[in-house]
Amino acid sequence: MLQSILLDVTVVVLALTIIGLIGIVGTERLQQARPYVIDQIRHVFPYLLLLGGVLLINDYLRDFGPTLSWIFGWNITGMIMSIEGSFIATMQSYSHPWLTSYFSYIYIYGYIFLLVFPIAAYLFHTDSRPVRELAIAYTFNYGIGVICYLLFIAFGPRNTLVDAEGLLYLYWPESQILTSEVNANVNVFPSLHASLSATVAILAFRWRDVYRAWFPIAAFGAASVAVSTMYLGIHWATDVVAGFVLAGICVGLAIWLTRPERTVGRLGRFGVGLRRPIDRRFDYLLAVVLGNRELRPDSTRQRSHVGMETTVVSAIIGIWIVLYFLLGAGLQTELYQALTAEDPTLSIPLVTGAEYSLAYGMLGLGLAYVVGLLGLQASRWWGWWLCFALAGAQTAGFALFYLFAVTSELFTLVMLFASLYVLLALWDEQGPFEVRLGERMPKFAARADR
Amino acid sequence: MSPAPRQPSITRRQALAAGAAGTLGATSGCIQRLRNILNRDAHDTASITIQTLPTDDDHLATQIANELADNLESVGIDTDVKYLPYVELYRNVLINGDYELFVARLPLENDPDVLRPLLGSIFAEEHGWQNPYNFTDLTIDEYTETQRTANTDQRVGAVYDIVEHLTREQPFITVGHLKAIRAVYSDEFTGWDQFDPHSPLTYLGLERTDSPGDAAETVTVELAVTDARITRNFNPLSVEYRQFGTFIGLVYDPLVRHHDGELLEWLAADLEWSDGEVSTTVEVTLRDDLEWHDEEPLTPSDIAFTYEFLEDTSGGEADIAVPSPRFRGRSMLVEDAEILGDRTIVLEFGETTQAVATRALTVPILPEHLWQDKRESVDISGIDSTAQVTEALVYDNVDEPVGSGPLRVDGIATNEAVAMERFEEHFLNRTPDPPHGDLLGEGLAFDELEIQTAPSDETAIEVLAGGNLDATTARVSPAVVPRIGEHSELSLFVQDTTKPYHVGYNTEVAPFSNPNFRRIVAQLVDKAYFVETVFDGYGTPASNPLDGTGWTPEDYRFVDEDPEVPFFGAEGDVDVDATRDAFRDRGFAFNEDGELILR
Repeated sequence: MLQSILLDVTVVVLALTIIGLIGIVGTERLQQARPYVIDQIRHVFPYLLLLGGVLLINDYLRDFGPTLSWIFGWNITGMIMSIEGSFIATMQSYSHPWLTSYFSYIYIYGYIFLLVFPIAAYLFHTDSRPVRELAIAYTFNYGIGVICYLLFIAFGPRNTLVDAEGLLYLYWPESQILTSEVNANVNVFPSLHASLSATVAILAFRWRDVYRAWFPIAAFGAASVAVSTMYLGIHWATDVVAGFVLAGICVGLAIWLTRPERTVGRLGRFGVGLRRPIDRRFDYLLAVVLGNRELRPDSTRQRSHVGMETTVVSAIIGIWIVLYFLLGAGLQTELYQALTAEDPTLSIPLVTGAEYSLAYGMLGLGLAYVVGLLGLQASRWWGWWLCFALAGAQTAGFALFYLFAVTSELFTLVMLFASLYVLLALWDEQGPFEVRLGERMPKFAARADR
Repeated sequence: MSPAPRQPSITRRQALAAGAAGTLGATSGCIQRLRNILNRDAHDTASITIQTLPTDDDHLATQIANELADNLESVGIDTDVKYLPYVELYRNVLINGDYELFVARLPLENDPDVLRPLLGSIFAEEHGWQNPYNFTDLTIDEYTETQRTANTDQRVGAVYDIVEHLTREQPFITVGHLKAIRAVYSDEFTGWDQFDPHSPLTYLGLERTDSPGDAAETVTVELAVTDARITRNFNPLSVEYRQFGTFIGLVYDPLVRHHDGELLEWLAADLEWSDGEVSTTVEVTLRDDLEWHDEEPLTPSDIAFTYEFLEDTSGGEADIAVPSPRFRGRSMLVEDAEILGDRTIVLEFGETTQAVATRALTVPILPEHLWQDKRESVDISGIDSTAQVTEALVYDNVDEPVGSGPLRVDGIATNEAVAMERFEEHFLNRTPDPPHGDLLGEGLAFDELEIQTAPSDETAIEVLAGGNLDATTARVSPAVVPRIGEHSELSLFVQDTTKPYHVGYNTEVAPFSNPNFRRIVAQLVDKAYFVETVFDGYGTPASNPLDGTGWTPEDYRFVDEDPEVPFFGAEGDVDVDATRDAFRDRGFAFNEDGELILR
């Protein structure tokens, strides 16, 4: 059921995005963008990966966050209800079947489109700032949002039923399979639906000259989403107002963090320091991991920085590889069980030995990765090929996992992104027949100054 | 929103007094007068909080609480409703005693003896559904003890006495019995309504419609549940995670089960009763070759351990006994247990009739080899730390729970699902001729049973209609009945139950310690209207938990209106003036703003 809803949402949002790209960005600009769009993606990838990381933390917190909240959180349902009285009830008194279906589709499809489309659209713009601002603003929204969810416990109007109804889930019960997968029912303050769509609208206004048709659409969409959360009985007006405030804060922070000229003064340097890890292209990070001295820009001037980054990134890669063994074994087992459950005539005896050998198989793959990385560092032609093949297989694997919903959807999605990222970085590092690493050095130096 | 008795703000008054004393100290007469004024408590306007469940957990309870709050507000009592999920509500009410009023469903078995632990004053300090109202009444104590020891005829009289006294005292307001509603998709199985809808027997007694074709084919029953607590905790003793214990009952077996007034020997093959002068005893002979799910043998020692453990989960280690918050009213009936051999144990009940004593035989038996090390005390947040708590009470038991029931837990995914499989060594699965074959059929009708969580009843029905599941549990809300009707492939089963919705008072706290106050609040609950609107007609209003069971004297049954506390008004609308007059008659007063004052 969840799979079919996910597929539904994916197809609808993809279709809307393609229509949007053609209608709002225009075919001409799409074609003109071809030379630099890949470069743009590589540049923005660390930002998206950071966002993915925060989303993953949110996903894990969904399971045990409410339990923590009940221990030390602040139950504000009663307070919100006494502040705003019967606002939601008044709103719902104008309910009409057409409005209910409009707002239901806005709440699910419209909202996701509103979040996905600008990322895609701004990638086709020559300047990377809009998309970087957007990614950072999303990250702050989710980051601050999850902290608020831990601190504040509140049930939405639909859960108190004081003259309010959960219209969405009465009209479209299946949608709750998706929403309950994403969030717990005590996480309503502030409304992330309101804050994220307001974020999109504010940035659409800020960059209104880039795509002239987008701002009015984004503004209308954001307003619809904000109204839908209240009309459908999911959020209080208080949550929506708090969401708008959150959006303002997040956009402000994002603009400050991505401003290139703000590098002087203590605050400016702090901002640059915060931004440094994600302002590197991944190919540079790869060079750092591989310890390729030649590849490091300003290796003499900022030795300490590079040293720290090397440690951090190597540690991340190390943890990645360890996780790869463990999760790999787990994933394989799950897939294997899914297969036998689907078709019992497959008659593979389910012995623990099989699971062990699968785990060892994954260990073998991990080791192959290490060998590939070593080979890459030593500038061997097979090193690149091995890494590239493994990353390719991994990407395809996670894509399949995602399609068949074998593991947690979000986890798979983030892993898919990460694999794609490694793949792109490798592609950027070496054309299939170029072997020497040092040659592209000037390109890095040029980027680092930017 | 502290449920503690309201304290006037003494500090401010004391500060005033100190200041006043300084300036006016010269005149002693003035001081005397000032003291007289200041040392009187100011009148407080009444302000109460009702705790209940949010709609995601139980929208019937939410609605009852909201309506009651509205009615209280309309007569001048400031009322808040606090929405808490099951585990938090039960923790406040059943464990920490941290509440004023609550609305929830009462999980009662079918025997008047349930009122003894529910209301007996010796249980007032205990956790769980043992007197959560902190109600202490010597008359109730006397009558509940009488029904435990009296012969059948006298027992009816004693139960009638309890019911009469209970309806007068109103330690809680019984709203009404909700019918059990279940939607079924597949026609692969029949017999969904042969047994008590919340009994494990329902699932054990299912029958397959088609003859089993391919023996190698795995037959799975997939059920939708909206209450995900079963996926977070599988401990039979954790009161805040249990509703009616239906699925736990498939995994943990008792000595006997009740069905339709009959006794079904379960782990026990044979019972031999002897009614002595002062003591009733039973010699229990266990079935042959009983086994736990981990293949350890089940022996009389496990039985003796269970009764001892339920009475004190600390095994005498703690300063005071730490009884199980569940099954306590039943386990305490057993006064002594004596093992007589490999399969025989004698249980001694003291002065208790056989009818009541059999209730003690329905508690789930626990494996001694796994639970004996759950005795040590623990200290965790969320539970009142001054009370001693043992590992047994907080243990989540989701990692391969070991019981002896016909189904064994295969795996539990938190908030997602519980998978169970047939336990081949169980006596029900011994073919040919398993016990109770005439009732339950030849062994289980399926190989696996899977419980899957759904976020709401509406979602559960849509998923069910999509053909992905076999049935829901019997706890579906009446609000989705029309939705079930829209899907021609679903069939609807409606059965009567005796698990009433009720509003419980904390009778330890003013003003709820005053029976007059409780009675007037009870008259603000329009039971018939609730059954018609909130229950959508799927239920019956009740004057007390035993109403509708034959244990209620004729004059005390709910017929058209409540015999003791009829509603002030009609069709859900409160007659404010009549209610205020009733309050004034009982010595309460209202201030100039029309708010009720507590003196």
